[in-house]
Amino acid sequence: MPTLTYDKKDFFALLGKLVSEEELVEALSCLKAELAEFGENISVEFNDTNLPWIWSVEGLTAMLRGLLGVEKGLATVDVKKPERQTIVDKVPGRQHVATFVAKGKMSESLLENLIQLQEKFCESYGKKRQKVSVGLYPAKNIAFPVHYTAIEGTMAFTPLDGEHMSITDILEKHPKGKEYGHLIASMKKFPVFMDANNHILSLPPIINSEEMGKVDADTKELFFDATGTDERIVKLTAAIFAFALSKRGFAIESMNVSYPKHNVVMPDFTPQEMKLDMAQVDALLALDISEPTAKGLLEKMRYGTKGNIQVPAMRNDVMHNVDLVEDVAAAYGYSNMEAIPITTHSVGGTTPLQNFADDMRALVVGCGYQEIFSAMLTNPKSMTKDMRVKGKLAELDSYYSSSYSALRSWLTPVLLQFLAQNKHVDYPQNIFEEGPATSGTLQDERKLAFASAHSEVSATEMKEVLDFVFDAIGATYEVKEKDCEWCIPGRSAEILVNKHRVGWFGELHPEVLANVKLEVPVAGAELDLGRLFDHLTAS
Amino acid sequence: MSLAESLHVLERQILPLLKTAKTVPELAAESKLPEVSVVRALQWLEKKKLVATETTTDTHFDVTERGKQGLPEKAVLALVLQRPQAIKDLAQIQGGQAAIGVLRQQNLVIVKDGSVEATAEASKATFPEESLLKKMPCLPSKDDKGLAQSLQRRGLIAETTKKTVKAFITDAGKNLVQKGIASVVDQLTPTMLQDGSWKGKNFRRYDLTSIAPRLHGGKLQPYKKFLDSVRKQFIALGFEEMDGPVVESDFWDMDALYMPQFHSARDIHEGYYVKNAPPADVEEGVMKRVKEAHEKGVEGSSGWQYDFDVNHAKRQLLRTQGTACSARMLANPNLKIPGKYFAISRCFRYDVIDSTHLPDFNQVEGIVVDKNLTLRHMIGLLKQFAKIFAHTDEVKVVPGYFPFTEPSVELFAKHPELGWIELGGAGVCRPGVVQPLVQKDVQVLAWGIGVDRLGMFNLGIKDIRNLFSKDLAYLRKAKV
Repeated sequence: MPTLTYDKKDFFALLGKLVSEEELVEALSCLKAELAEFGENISVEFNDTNLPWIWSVEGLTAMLRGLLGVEKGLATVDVKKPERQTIVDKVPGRQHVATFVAKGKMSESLLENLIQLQEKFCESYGKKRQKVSVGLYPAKNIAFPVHYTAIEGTMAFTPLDGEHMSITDILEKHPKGKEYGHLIASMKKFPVFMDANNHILSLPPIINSEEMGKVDADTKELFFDATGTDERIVKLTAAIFAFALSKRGFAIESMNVSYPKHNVVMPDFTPQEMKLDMAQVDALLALDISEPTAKGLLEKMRYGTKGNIQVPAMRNDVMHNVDLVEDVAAAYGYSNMEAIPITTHSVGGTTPLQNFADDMRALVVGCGYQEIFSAMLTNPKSMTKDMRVKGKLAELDSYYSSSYSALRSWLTPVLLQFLAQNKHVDYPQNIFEEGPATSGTLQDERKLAFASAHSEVSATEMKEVLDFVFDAIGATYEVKEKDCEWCIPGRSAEILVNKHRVGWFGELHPEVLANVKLEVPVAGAELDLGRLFDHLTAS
Repeated sequence: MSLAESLHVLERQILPLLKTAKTVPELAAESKLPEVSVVRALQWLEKKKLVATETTTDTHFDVTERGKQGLPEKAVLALVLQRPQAIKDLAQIQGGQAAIGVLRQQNLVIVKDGSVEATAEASKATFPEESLLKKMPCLPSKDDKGLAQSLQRRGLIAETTKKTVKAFITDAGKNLVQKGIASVVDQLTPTMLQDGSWKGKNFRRYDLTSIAPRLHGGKLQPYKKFLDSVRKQFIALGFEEMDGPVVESDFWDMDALYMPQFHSARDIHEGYYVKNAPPADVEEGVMKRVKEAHEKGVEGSSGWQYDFDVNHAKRQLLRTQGTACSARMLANPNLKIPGKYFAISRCFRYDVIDSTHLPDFNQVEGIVVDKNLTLRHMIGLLKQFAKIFAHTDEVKVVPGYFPFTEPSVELFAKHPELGWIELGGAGVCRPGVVQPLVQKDVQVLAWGIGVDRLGMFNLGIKDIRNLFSKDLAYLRKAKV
């Protein structure tokens, strides 16, 4: 969730109203945003990742002006008719383009603002420039029409903060090339903006040209581009940046963007038309409000309400009538809504397996065992090698720490790890855990394992517990001698119910104990609760 | 309580033996008890004022290891009497240097050019120190005091102090013994019950205020027990428990919840994907309906307008949100309408692991399925949760953002000490979720609660790692 920081003076100048911190918090909450700092600067954390318009201070204050009653109705921009043109060739892999020109007065602080927006926007919403990236240039040096085209990697220009070099070299050597080069590295030809005099303006989405693409505080006319893989997002981006610049007094001059087979005019502020379904407003909110009231609330959220509902072009998160309903609710104020108690009648309950597991836990507690609760993420070594067994695990593709790189496939290793961490605590130590484990089959298995550690422990103690537990659940089990790899030979057995294996018990092998650095003998047992339950209910 | 009844078996054995004052070794020999037991019994008896003890200190001198070698001056003189000896040779003898001094003082030797020679007196020399040494150990008489001091200075004898403890019975003790203490019974035995011999017996009274050995009984893990209580609360509210797998498909974890595949939270690095996992098995019909909802929307809405990738949806990862269980339930043909469901599920967060972030976390979430449900019902339910789980009526609801609900709401509750805390999120499920999964005209409310944080508040735990404590001493002491 992105957090952006704004200059407080500038923020309030754009807002056009002085409000207290509390009022600001309240208004921001309607926009799913939180005030993170209210000092010399204002920092805002945005929870809604689908509304990047309000990440710009110009967009944010436009919305707040609606909520705070400064201005209402459709947020839009009057754009001049196109005089200039961008000609788009086939650029496989990054086909969509929007460009425009903005005339006005640049300043250091404004430039800083634009760069912050550009970075946050392209990193977060643009998925690290993959979906969309943005370029800004001084327009005065550019000979129109501009071409968006694909060229050979051997072609060269001087990138910002770099030497004159080939495109291939930029991708390999320039810091931005190293960071973003992978987005276009596999292309046969590389996307560039080039002016009518064949000067390269930029290599999107990597870097601008030093000669053609360096904006400073003296720039009076800006050329803007957005390129990307998703037409809607590219269009949205152009609208958001044009809106921000227009709020800064720039006149927006739209441009013809001519694709091989069609032509579009960018930026496009034509609002999406939607019909407000009042029946759904009532059904979802039960507020008993009239249509004019609902429309009034939407105007506060900067929608247009001439006839139908007009959605600002800076938003593409309004897909369905329910999105309008939510904005009606937000403007109405959630805190003004009275709660209605739920009367939906239903009978509560849990699963039979859960009940069984809880019974089993209570019985093992009755034998003097302390329950533990452990993480499911562990590592392959603990589950297999340390236990002298092999087996397929649910291992992870990538992870932060190799200690947490696989799911536990059984619980006994978890108990041993626990015992190994408590060598300084009084013995005897009797512990157990009940919960899911997941092996290489990727299916959850509900398990229950218990273990006892003290100097005179024996497998018989485990059998005592098993006898007690099985008697209590009214079941019988068979003991089938079997040398489990993790146990001392001759001191382990399988537990069978209806001839099916449902677990084991035994004395842990000294090598296993040494692997986990335990210096006290341990006896253990593990039951597959799901399987046990199935066999019990089947018989 | 009667004093006699409170006597320990050890006390009762020792007290009658004290007809005369006796030492611990004497009492040990007589009672055949180890000395430690005698000492303990005497301590208890003394505390009860039945016995008093007297400690006598005996000071005397005894020969040291050096002293056992005999008087150095006698040895030195014997050598010198044979023939004159060099000082440096004599100095080799332990105490030799001092011995020459002593002998010179008594005019038995003279020193000349680094050599020691015997005088005429030498052959007649007597050594009173020697006879004193032989008397050791003793407390030297007045006359021997000077000699003893000199021997002590030279390290040939040393003073030792020996403490002797003698115990004697007090008048109270005598009284008690006279009255008889033997009839007090220590242990009620089956024989006594069978033959009725317990009748008329006095049982020894115990000191129950003394510290007993610690018992480590079995009990439930505190946080698991808290989750048990959460489960009970939901069942009491009429919610039915749902279940779902830990290894989940992208489909149920995200696609079915209307999260577009290009959503930033769906990057490969935002989840723990399972290595070499086969494509998940998802029923074709529901896959198709979800795909259409993403691509084209439902009820004339625009949808996300992108090419939905079925293979992407079949990738398998560790469940990132418990809501996956709700998605499965909504698509289940056995879904009850009206119905209320909940799940307590283990989820996984792809994040750095530290004191406040664990890779495993627990979530409680659920759904209410019915006709005519509104956002205001959702707010009503959330307020009820706040009352039950955070014990507060002071709640705040604000708009929230979740991909699968619209409108969405976030719930904050005022904790008496910690102020406003985020309890959870909720909302009315989007038609893009409900229609492809349920295929019926119903309203679905969905909610989720960060139960780990709730557990910390309720158990008074500051460090999140203590929810999954690896410290047995902590668990043994933990309240349940």
